[in-house]
Amino acid sequence: MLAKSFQPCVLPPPAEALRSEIRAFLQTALVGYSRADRAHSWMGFDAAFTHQLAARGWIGMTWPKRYGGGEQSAFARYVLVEELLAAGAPVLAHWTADRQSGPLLLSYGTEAQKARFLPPICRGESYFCIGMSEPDSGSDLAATRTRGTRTDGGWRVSGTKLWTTNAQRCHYMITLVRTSAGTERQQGLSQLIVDLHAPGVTVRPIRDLTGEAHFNEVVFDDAFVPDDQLIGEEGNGWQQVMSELAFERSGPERYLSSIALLAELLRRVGPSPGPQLEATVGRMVAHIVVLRQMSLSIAGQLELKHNPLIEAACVKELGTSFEQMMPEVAHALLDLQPTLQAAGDYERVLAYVTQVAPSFSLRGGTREIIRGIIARGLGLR
Amino acid sequence: MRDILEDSIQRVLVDHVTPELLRACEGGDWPEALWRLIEDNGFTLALVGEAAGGSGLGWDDVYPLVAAAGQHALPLPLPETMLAAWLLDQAGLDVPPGPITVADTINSSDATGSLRATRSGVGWHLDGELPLVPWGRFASHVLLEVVLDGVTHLALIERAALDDPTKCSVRQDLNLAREPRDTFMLTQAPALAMAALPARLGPAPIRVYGAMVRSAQLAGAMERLVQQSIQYAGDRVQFGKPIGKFQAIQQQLAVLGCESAAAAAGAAFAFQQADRADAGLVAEFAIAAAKVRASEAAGQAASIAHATHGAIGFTYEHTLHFVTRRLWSWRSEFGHHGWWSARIGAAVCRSGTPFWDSVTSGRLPLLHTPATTNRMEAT
Repeated sequence: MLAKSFQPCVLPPPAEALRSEIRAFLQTALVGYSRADRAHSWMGFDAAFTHQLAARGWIGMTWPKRYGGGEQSAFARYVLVEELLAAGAPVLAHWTADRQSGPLLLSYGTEAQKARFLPPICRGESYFCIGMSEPDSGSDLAATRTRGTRTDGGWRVSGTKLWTTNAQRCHYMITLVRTSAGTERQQGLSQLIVDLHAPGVTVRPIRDLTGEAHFNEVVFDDAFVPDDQLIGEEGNGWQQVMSELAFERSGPERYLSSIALLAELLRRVGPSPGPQLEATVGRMVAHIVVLRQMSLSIAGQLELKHNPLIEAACVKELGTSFEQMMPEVAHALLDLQPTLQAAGDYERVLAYVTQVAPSFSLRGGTREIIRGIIARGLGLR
Repeated sequence: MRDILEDSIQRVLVDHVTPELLRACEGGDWPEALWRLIEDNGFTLALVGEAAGGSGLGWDDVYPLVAAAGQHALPLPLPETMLAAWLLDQAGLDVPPGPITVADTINSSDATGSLRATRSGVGWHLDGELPLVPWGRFASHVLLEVVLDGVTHLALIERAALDDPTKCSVRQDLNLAREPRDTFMLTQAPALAMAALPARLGPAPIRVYGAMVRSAQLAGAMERLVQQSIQYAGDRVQFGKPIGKFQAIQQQLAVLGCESAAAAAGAAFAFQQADRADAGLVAEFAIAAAKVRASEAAGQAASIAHATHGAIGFTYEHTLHFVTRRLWSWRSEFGHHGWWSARIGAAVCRSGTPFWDSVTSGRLPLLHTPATTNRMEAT
């Protein structure tokens, strides 16, 4: 059962060797990027930074060279991603394309699609988002209502996607649409690449409780999508989406979102803060060590072309719980008030992380949905 | 190798560790026949070099043995004996037959100070307290760490020598699972053999590797709770359907599954690190993390398993408590959650490098500095 599914996975030396190069790069590239900015983790957007990564060959680094990739191992990418996140680098611009859209196209895309879409991603010029949730379809993804209707040379798409992260700054959305009725709700769904600047597409950023806008409402009003922007098979959208999820749910981003807070806490309390603080810090670090091993173990399984969906859900469940525990623990430890214009980095980072923490267990599948998936894996459903 | 070991230990334990056996052991029995079977299978010497009659396996290989001991609530000191045999072999000492236990003397409650060794003729004498020694009354030998001439040594005591009331007074006790935890007060008690601690084992290997085997036992025990709870939730019908069909139960069991997986992942990682040629620091950090995580999971796992089982799981007649009472005991042994997290935290805070560097390198000096153990403070 689950307990035997997390065999230790050691990063191969070539991947490990990349770490110092990445750290040296970040040391320079992130000069002037404040602690509070770093707390944004993968919600930080900076196209210039993305261009710098691209120049290093660090976007699409596992993809075939003929599409602009680096043909490096998934472990090399794992090291890159965990270093970027640990440093709080602003990776949002290319994040989804690099993690999910590119691999999806490599699995299901046509040769022409790969040749057209992948090289600009690798150059750091083309950004993707994922259109899944809708006003009446959040956790219940199979309730998707956005419709793609056959027309000459393509589809006419109408409907609304909601909570789409980063859509306001992306070029394309990989959109889950209903292209036929189907006898089961999971049938008749397809994935279309929608040009977000095409006529009939309106993107409206939605302010979240922090006052910033990361997610969006995207309205399609009879927007035309040409035939050659269908990914994979028509009607196979559900299966294709499910195959992405293990990648989406097990990466280091599922436990490192509030890591900036631990770093600030350590800076603030100094080298010998006393037994209570030390024990709490140690507890947090123990969680990180184990979560990292679980996440790495899944990376190893993905490299072997397994699809550890249940294990990935398990990492997300444990990882997001840990991320959310961090601000609670910090609050209990230090008698410092989080304020928005505080002089201290710790207070500012605490202010930000405290506010965004609820989103950690909403994005990428809510806690309840994730636990449901695990329960199914345990044979309860 | 892991699969073969897993199969053979499972076969032995499934057949022999029955509720009747567990109840008899809780009443004070020592299951000699089962002990002999385990010895005859070679499990106790799995980690001992082939030159000394063992199998020459590494910790990573034997993880299934230790986890299975936890999973089946094995009422015998197999993990302790494996650990003691490994330490003896590492230190170049002979491994005697029979059950060998280990005495964790860190944080000794002995008011007169820590354990002392003195030379006497060709041998050595030991004074001081061995607190809550696992299976002490049933062991043939006890292995412990003691400082002699300023150097930490491993010392082996023959248990029979402690039956002499002028050399030793015993306070018998039991952990929550009624496993013997006996405290020995030594007065000029003779040691059978001593050897300086090899450097690669670090300054306190009984505490460290003891914590490691307990992490695996905890993980194995939690895996058992997952199996047992899923089974029960499928069998028990309320409101016209198995309770496992209710989302409230499913969500709880998903959490139990995750906690069990986290404990197992941490423990398996620690066992793997322990085999590295450069073990030392790397193993200590991984073991500390594993023990903290498994100890933390233990309480929550036991709580969910009991909640799922309802009142029947709270009866002595039911078997659930054989596992949950072990979880509540083992998490405190060889350093509880707080002891290990304080070691990690203190090391992280004083290391002067970003904690992330320590996480990725796995190198964090937990015990290699002064004032980290009582014994070291005393010397």
